[in-house]
Amino acid sequence: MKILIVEDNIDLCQTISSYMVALDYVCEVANRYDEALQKIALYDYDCILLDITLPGGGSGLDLLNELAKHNKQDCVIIISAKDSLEDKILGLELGADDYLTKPFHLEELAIRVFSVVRRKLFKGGNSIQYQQLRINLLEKSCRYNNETVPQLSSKEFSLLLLFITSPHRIITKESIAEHLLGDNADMFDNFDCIYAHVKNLKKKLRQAGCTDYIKSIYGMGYKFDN
Amino acid sequence: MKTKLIDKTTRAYLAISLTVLLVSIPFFYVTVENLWIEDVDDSLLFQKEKIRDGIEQNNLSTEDINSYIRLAAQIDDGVRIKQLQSIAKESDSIYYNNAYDSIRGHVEPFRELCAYLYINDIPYQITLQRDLVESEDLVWGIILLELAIFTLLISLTLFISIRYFRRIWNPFYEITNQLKHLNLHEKGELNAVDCKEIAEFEDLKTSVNELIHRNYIIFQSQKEFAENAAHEMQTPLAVIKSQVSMLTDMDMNEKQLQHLFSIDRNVKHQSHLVKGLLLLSKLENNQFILADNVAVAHVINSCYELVKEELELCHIPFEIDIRCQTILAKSNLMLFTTLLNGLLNNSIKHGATPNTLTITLDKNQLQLSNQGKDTALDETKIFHRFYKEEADASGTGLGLSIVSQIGSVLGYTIKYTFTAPNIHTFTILFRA
Repeated sequence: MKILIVEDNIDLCQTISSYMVALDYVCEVANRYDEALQKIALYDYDCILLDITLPGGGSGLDLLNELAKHNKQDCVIIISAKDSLEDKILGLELGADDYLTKPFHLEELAIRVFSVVRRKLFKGGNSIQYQQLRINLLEKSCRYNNETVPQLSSKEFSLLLLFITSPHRIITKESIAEHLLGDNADMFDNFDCIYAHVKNLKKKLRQAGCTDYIKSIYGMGYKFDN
Repeated sequence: MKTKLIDKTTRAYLAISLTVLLVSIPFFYVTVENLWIEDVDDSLLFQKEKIRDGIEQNNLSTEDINSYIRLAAQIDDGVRIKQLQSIAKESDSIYYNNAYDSIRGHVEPFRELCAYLYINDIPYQITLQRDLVESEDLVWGIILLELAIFTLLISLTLFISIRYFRRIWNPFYEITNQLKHLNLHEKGELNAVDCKEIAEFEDLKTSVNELIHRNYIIFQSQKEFAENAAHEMQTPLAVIKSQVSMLTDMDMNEKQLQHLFSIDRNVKHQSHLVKGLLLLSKLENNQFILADNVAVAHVINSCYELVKEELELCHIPFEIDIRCQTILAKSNLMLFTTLLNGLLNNSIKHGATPNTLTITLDKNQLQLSNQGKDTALDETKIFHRFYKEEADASGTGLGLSIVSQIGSVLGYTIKYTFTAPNIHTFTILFRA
């Protein structure tokens, strides 16, 4: 999988890049509009992470226009600090596949990239496998060693996907809350909702014989590992 | 209800015309009648002179005169002559006299001349009568004609002014209409309006366009500011957040991880704060287009769906009572959802344990209640920015001020009420 990161902040580019490389993606970086334009003209990428505000003669939205003009099928996720609905709508209209508002957690980015690429390249209808755990994305069901895991709730299912797309990494409760609840993430700050979600997910996985995949890290976060 | 321009001018015009008409009728009547009576008087005097001249020039004898007097009395054509012993008063007098008209069979107004003169040294009194029936007809005829002309004139003028009103005032109406629907998001001037005919409208268009343009520039620069500020403030936070994320992957001990997570939490807090403040600044700058039809019941349900599982996990019952499928026209779906989420957030965060949320939707209002502290909140302060009930609260302190600001942008009133023992209710009144 080849990813192009178009972002003017070099530090952010590097972190995203090293994170995605750790997840077995191949990453290239463009810090300027003209640089990005050159790259998309020369190569095909599976996914482009695109900032809207760019130096070098154009914006991310112009780049989307260029992609459409060249009939490029690359997946595009806009990563922008502009939390404006118009930009979001305009971006999606111009052919972007998703819109992620800065600042974001890297595991959130990972799952967005995964979903977008899967939808576009594998036409959505397939399942993913993590060791003996097999997840059917259409039915939102899950099997472990041919043993069916009891039906997961929709939040439990998206929690499992978040874990699977960022394995071996500590995922904070904040990050999980933001993934599950979006803007409402801090609504349940006073309750240990995330703990309850994880506990329920673990319980269902255990019923199918899948144990010890989700580890609690000092009560601050979780890690999907074995 | 305000009067329309055309009604106002037409009304004033009609009032003036009618007043002039009403005042002119008696005036006209008196003038015409006076002229007519003067005419009648002249003709009576002239007749008198003719009778005298006729008698004198023909040298009529007293017998002839007496037979003329007799004949005149018999014929009764308005000439009566009477022989007198002496003349007490020599001057002629003219006066009105109502007399029985034998031909018409009723009493008619007459004008009478009573003159005294000597013929062949014998004093006579001549009385000449002229009936005024014709004069009345004439006067009435004239008045009716005047009325007819006047009415025709008024209605024609009205017709023309109403007909031309639209055409002449069209640029004005077009300018006001465009202003009503002006959207500073799209453009900073009016569409072409044809104002060539009227100088004042050309002036108006130019001034309005200048005003709009200035506003457009201010609006755009504030919009740009908000966007640039978002970019400049959130990008470093994104860097910090992702660096922290990378660090957690390195073999850290519990203490180190605690520091990292504390950074992460504070970055989150900071980014929420930036987001909230930018939203407030956008709200103040009216950067949201109110063009959605918001189906409130639908928004309530989708907000509920998002947090349904968590509410169950936290054992917070949520009662939804939709009594009316309210649809709000000219609202903004994103803002309305943010408003509802803001209130929901507040009710869950500051709720007591156990807490029950109740949401009630009527035609004109939406109420959200929760169980909370035993005392009422300070209604004058809760909508202020950075106001927090508890000093250590993790929130940004912007939630309710965003709620109230959205309310005012969308044109709703937001009220807070407390019911003993511990029910806190926020009400959105859709009609402010």
